[in-house]
Amino acid sequence: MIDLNEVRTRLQEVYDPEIGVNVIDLGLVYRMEEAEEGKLYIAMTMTTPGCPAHDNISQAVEWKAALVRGVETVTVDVVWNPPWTPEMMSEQARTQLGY
Amino acid sequence: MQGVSSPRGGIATSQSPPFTLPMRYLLLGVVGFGVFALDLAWQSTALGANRTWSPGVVALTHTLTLGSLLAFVMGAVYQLTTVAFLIPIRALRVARLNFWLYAVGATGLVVSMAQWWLVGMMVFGSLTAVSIYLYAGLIAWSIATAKTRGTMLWFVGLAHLYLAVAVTVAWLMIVSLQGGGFLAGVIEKLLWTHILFATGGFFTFLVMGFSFKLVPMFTLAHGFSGARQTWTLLFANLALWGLVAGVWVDSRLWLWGAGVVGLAAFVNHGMTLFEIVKKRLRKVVEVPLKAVLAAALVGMGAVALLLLQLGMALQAPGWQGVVALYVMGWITLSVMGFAYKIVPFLIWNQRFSKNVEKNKTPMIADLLHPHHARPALWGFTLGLLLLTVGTMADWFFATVVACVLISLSILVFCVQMLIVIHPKKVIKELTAID
Repeated sequence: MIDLNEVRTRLQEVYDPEIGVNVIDLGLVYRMEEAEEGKLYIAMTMTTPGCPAHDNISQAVEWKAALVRGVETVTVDVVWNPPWTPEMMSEQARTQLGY
Repeated sequence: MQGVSSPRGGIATSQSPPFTLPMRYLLLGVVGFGVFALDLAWQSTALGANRTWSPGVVALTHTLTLGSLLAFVMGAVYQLTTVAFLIPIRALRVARLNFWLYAVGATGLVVSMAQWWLVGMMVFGSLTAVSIYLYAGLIAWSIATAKTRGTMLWFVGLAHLYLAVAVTVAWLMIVSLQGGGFLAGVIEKLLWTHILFATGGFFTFLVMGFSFKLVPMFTLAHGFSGARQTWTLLFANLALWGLVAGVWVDSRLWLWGAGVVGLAAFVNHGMTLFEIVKKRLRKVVEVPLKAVLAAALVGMGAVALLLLQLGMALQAPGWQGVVALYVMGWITLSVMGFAYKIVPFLIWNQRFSKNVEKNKTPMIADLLHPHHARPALWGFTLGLLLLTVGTMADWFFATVVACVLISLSILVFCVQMLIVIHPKKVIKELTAID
């Protein structure tokens, strides 16, 4: 059984290298679920389609999630629907960006 | 972690070319900027004395346009095209080999210009032309497959068409010089056509087009309208063709009308950028982006100066002031501003993105903080304004001081770029991958 809270905590260590805010606070992670025992599925997005850091961020999410106890495989899906909006950011991220 | 295998379920939208492709061009551009800065300081007294048509100054101009700006822009375009249109670059091998053709052609051409060696200009000019046609063809082929066909695609596509026209006209001028001057009667018209298509066509369309992607991306802007972009495209095209027509029919009124439309294009572009910036999420507008915004204002100022020049029927020093302000203020300042964002990203991507599993991966700003761009960009802007005043007022002392200030600012820019690039590491990376 995967502890999704632990995954969330791990993903707070993944930063957008340009903005300097983590993917959880940016609201980039839409969904996390354990579809089958040990198989973690993550649906996430980027702040803009064609984001040049796309591969790095999704790979980092994959790596960090894989470190969580009980995770055997990780599938990261980058989706564009619904598109990311500033309202998806946490209060902390808004403060950090001065929004 | 328990024997993790991680099938990637996501769709890959990143189509970035290999690091070596953009980096070689960017590196050539940085070296070109350095050579230009040193040569500008060296020739400052010739410029102050208004000897602008000497071979040395012609070579200096092309060190900036071919050696620095075009080299840098080609590298950036290879990277940005994949980001902006979500497409891969076609025929990567040809693109990589083409770098060497360009490097040899452009270097040989500039050296031949400095010596006013017509055979060299013919040979190296032809090599450069072939290389630029290849580059423009590859970009056109690549973006032809893009699924999203917005205004930005038109800007980038037309920019490359105008680049091919500018190169063809330049090549015709060289052929004419070499072949006994069979185009001597229209050489001045050809020269202006070349300048207009290169600066008002290629560079202007490219900077405007990619600004619509880069400025929102770096300011994290959302919810702005793209409605004005189409008008900018229309005005910019009308202005360019109007100016070219004005040159060929020799009509000051026609030129003035086209200049007014050009001013409308810049005002519209400036308003688009300011709307994007207004809708940003990042409170602080970084120095490089401020420079990009300032460059749009300077572009506007250069076109206004063109109108003044036409209206008052001023002579040569005024024209040189207009061209210098446009090329250095609008184009060069934009390129330098974007360089402070693009180069650190490329280096970060190459050297640190593979360390994502580690906790101590630096942020991009750790490689070169945007605030550090201040001395180079503002020193350059100040020098440029002084150069415009000095050139237009035919003021020797101001022109020389301005050249030295611009030169020092560009050298600071080059040193900062080289600190990020780290020549020793990059040479190792470039040779290891190929």
